[in-house]
Amino acid sequence: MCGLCGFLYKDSARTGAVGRVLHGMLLPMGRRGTDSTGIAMYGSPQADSYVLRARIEANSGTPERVLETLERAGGIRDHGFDGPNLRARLAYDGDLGELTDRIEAVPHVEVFSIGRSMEIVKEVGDANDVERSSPFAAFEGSHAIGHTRMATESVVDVAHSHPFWARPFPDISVVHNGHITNYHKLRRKLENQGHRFATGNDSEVIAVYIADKLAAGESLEDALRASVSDLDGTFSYLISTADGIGCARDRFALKPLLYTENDEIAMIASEEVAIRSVDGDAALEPRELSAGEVRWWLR
Amino acid sequence: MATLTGEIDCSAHSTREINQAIKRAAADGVPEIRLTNPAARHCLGVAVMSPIHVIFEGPVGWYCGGMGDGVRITVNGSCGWSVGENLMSGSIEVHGNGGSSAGATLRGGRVFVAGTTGARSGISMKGGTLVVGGSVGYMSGFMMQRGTMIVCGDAADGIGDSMYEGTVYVGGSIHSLGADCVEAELTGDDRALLSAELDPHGITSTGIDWKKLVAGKKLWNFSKHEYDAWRGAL
Repeated sequence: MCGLCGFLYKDSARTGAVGRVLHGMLLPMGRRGTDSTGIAMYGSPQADSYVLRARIEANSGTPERVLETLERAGGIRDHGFDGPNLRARLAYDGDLGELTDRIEAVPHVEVFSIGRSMEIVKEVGDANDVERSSPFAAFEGSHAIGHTRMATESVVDVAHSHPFWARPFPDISVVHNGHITNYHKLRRKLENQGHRFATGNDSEVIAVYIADKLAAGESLEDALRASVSDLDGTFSYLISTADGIGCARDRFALKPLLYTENDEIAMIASEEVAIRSVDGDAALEPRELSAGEVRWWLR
Repeated sequence: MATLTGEIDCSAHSTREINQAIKRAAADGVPEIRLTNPAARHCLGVAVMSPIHVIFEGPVGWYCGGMGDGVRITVNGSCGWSVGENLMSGSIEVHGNGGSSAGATLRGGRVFVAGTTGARSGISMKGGTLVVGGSVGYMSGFMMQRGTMIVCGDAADGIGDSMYEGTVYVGGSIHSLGADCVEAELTGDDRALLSAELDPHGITSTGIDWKKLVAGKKLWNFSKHEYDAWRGAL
């Protein structure tokens, strides 16, 4: 059992307090998963730079080594630490997989995300623990997805917390509730295509699977529809890109997922209680996705 | 909780406090209790065993009204999964959409959802009546053992899969029948039942191409000559 939530402003020019909205949605979703919590948020994209989010254990000069690596790669526009968590704006125009490898070659470093607009923060514990560790509630942006995790397979730590960045594709991440039972087969297939994985968590394969299809020119809708057939097991998941959010539910409808929307916004969540944390007067009527249904919202 | 009144603001109380207050009110003979700001919280109004009209002014979460016996619940909003699960008697009316497993293991009474409900609505019903004003999701009526399910809209794939007994009525289209679910002839008694169940909700039952679904009974006993039926069910 895990909790999913997402929020999007439909107007491509509009941004707002998506951090505050996700914080409000994640707190009631904490009952569906107490192990860890994470958010992928989308701010204003910068065409000439990337924003990096990473966890760097502060011991034996590691932060300095990471900063040196980033400077050599292209230069740091700005950066700051919240404890062990680094946020840096990078001047870089090379391969993101290569850059990620160089950063993670430094011991005790975990890259959460690199994107033009996407920033992933996550922590063991609930939404308030994330807020203490990597303040996100004040984040202004266009859309965001979040996750509360109840671990059933892989280890409970920040690396295995959702969202998962579809490395090395910029600005794509996934949150998932369920189990992907053909995970090993799918992962081997994607690895044979040259993709790499950061964890042993089955959810990460969804991110890379969708990102691979988008990179091949498929639309988000087509990729979502294909996933319902290609992914075995039980799942509800949200995938976020620079342009929007998509979601899908498995053919047996075993994991909950519902959405609501109006002309301005769309909200998706595992349970209505997350939506009501934002829409307290219940003006928006939610609807469950049916078995095998996919939906998407592009700004 | 403070002295009982006929109205409770859910936002000021825990779920346990709310449910205890409803039960105390029912035991004290209070005819009606109104609850504001339910905010889609789970397990509201469960196991109320005495007659009382409970009105939720807003959406409720999962399992609302479950295990009740003689309670009348009105939800002026939507509801989550398993509304009225194992209801023994009484009624639940939801004036919005429902989630999956609406009326699961219903044993008696009536559950009405004005909008749509999700997958496995009416799963393992053992009695009572589930009425859905809109459409139902995948595998609704799965392993139904008794009772009546009325779907005014469409039925998704696998309706009535592996049902033992009971009756399902569908007013809209049927994507596919579940294993051993067959269509039966609609009689005058069926039309009278539909009218009696739907009229109180302001839903007309006439002029609709109702389909009546029952168990084919091929799965009651194993037969190697019915291999295809068993393979489909399993």
